[in-house]
Amino acid sequence: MNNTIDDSGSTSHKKGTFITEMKNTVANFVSENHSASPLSRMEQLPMQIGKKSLSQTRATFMAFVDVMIPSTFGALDLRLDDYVIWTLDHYISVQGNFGMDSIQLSSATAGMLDAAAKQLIFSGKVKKELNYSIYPEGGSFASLSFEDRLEAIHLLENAQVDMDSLPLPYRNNIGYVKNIVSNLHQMVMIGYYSEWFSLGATRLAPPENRVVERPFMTWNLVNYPSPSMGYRELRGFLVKEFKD
Amino acid sequence: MHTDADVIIIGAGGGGAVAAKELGELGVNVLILEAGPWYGNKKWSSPNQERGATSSSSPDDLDINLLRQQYTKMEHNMNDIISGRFRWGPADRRRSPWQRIIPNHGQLWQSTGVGGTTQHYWANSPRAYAMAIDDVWPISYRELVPYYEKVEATLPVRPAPTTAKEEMFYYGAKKDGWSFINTKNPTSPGYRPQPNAILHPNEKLMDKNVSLEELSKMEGCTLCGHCVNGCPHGPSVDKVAKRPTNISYVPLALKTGNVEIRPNTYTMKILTSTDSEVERQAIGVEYRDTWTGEIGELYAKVVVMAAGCIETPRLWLNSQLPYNSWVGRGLTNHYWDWVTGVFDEKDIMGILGQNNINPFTGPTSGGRLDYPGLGCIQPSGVSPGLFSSLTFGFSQSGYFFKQEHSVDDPWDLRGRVVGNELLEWMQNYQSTLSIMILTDDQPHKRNGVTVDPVLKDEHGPIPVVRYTPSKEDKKKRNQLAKISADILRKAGAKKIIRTDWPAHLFAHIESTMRMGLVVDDICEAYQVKRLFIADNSVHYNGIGGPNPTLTTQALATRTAEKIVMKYF
Repeated sequence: MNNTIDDSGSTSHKKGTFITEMKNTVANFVSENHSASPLSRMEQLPMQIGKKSLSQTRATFMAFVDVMIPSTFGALDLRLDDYVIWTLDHYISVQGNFGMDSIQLSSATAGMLDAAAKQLIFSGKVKKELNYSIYPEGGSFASLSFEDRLEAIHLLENAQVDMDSLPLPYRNNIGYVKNIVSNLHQMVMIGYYSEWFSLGATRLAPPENRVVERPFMTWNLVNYPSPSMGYRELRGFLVKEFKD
Repeated sequence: MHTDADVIIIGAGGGGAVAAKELGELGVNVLILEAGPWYGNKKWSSPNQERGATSSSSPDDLDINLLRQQYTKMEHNMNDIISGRFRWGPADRRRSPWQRIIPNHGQLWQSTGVGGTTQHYWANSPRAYAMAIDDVWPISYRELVPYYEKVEATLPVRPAPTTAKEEMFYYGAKKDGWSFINTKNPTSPGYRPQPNAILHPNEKLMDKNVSLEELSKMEGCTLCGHCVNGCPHGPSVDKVAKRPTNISYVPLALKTGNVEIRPNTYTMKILTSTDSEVERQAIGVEYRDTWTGEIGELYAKVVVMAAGCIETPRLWLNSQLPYNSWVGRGLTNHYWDWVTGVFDEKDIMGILGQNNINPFTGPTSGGRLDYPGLGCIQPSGVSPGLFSSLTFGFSQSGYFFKQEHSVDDPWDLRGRVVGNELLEWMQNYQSTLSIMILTDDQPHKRNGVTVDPVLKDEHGPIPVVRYTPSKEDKKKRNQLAKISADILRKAGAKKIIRTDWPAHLFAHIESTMRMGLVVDDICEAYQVKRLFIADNSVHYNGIGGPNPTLTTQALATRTAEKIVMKYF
């Protein structure tokens, strides 16, 4: 993980510092408090927080995919958290000083969900008790009940949380928040109901190295017979040529 | 001055390939620069892994066996917008897609590569509504007709066959009081088969003595339902059943002996003459090789931009061509929506004589209802990953349980569905029918493409795409959603969901470089001579709602003819 320490102490939101701040965010998914003191800058060192941030990111997306498609053989059993993290970390790259830099959006996105969850908790409107035992390495979002997780997402996409508390690139950027929230839902669904899980051990390999290794479990669930050479389903023609 | 070709065309998609074939047939030497890969060509046997050759200009390079390997029909492998073969990005799939900033719920659904977005299009090829052209565009509908006819004969375009989902749709439409209209030129509302650029099914399709595998290597559609995942079925590349331009126009262009196509080549800048004595004119392009990063210049007598409705204005802006307040503006996107019904098996049996609709069979969309003045709707069926994501995950309303439901709504729920409800809907996938809505939205100057002042990719400032529908557009879309729900209900749907797709869905993108405002009536830029445009961006509006590709192809045919008349 690549992290740049900005020793200027600047907390500017100007676009000029966007890329640097976004890079910081990569290793700083819990940076809801952006009034960075020298100490908090130190805490952004990747070696110090890298491991923790990865496990917390994973816990957050495990909690996210579980509420999207629950139950046995749901999205969590089918490792859709891997799918979401891989996709987010390949979602965007921008021009850096020496070529294109990939922005690892997964930790920032997990941080965004946690920030929304935290605000729901502080508002006292959670409907069920928090439970940290399911995802001990998780943050606020993962501690919520299914119903409350959906409530946190609802508040987030309707800008009913403090947008200034979100990590970059989401901070004060409702357009980008909505775009990612919408895409997160689509990712889980296309990942779950496509051939992705059947790629087995190759599913996180570079796309060209992926091969189907196991049966199409979710296609069986919805009686989709898998890709086909054709169907003898011709029922005729209303017309074979239009009149004019 | 030395030139590398008579004409350089930027983009080998729905429009560029057509212009190339027409120019090549008229004896003009053409070089197409395409940003993405070339599937089904021997010179790129591993197009997503290796750089391969620089260009190809021979029809002998086309290879149906490679196309069959590469168009796998697997929806994640083909259609995933981040890593799929059909994505807006470089050929090397280890890299991220090329970013566009969509500041809202939404998605931009385009594909790079020879064939461009027609690789995953559904091949629906209706003409524009005459009422959206006459006295609105700088040219008349009548002017377009001979070019429509030429494209329809070349692709070819024919009425789609009926499979289960079309039969359910026709049944519901008829019961709801709509008439059958047997025409290519609808002037009043009614239903009809899609005019599709898909070969009719092989006459042996229903003959069980011929295996489906054999049929997949013969001429004609096999009703496999993979139009959106990429169609590899046919005896040779030029005879594949679905007719994207890499299948239809590119082989014909190569046959002229005058056309060379260079994939993996991203055009970054239009080069213009700087001689102040003469009018500003295009003289070539600056490009970047997407594998090596090598930057170079190529020169021609005429340059044609066919990079699509986002990249063409971006290219104009990043080239610092003369200011025109309409560049990138006036975007229409048909303000889509999606309504889905689920049916009881016994009701399906009563209509179809079988238990299920199986929306994954047959052409992705084989029927439509046209309503000039309002737009159109079309029954549609896609594979389960795409179906779930488009039906239950892609909404501007948020979660369905947060929506207020009015007893007057003809649908039972609106918005995103997750959890056990999603599982339940998906268990009934086989018994669903979806209808896609295309609205006759109007161009507004606020909508369109700008470039970000700070964020750049390797090709320069990144496009930002915005769209806000007007009150009138919303009214039309609501009316079409009601018609769709009524048709589903009349066909017996037990439960209906209106997904309420985000307004920022960019798939039918038109009118960002409008004829009469940025280009003249032969599609040459007013402010830069010898610079033409041959993509959806020159449409003056959203052509009334019908799918735009055929109109772009008719115009590209006409533009090629006008280029030769004027400059060769």
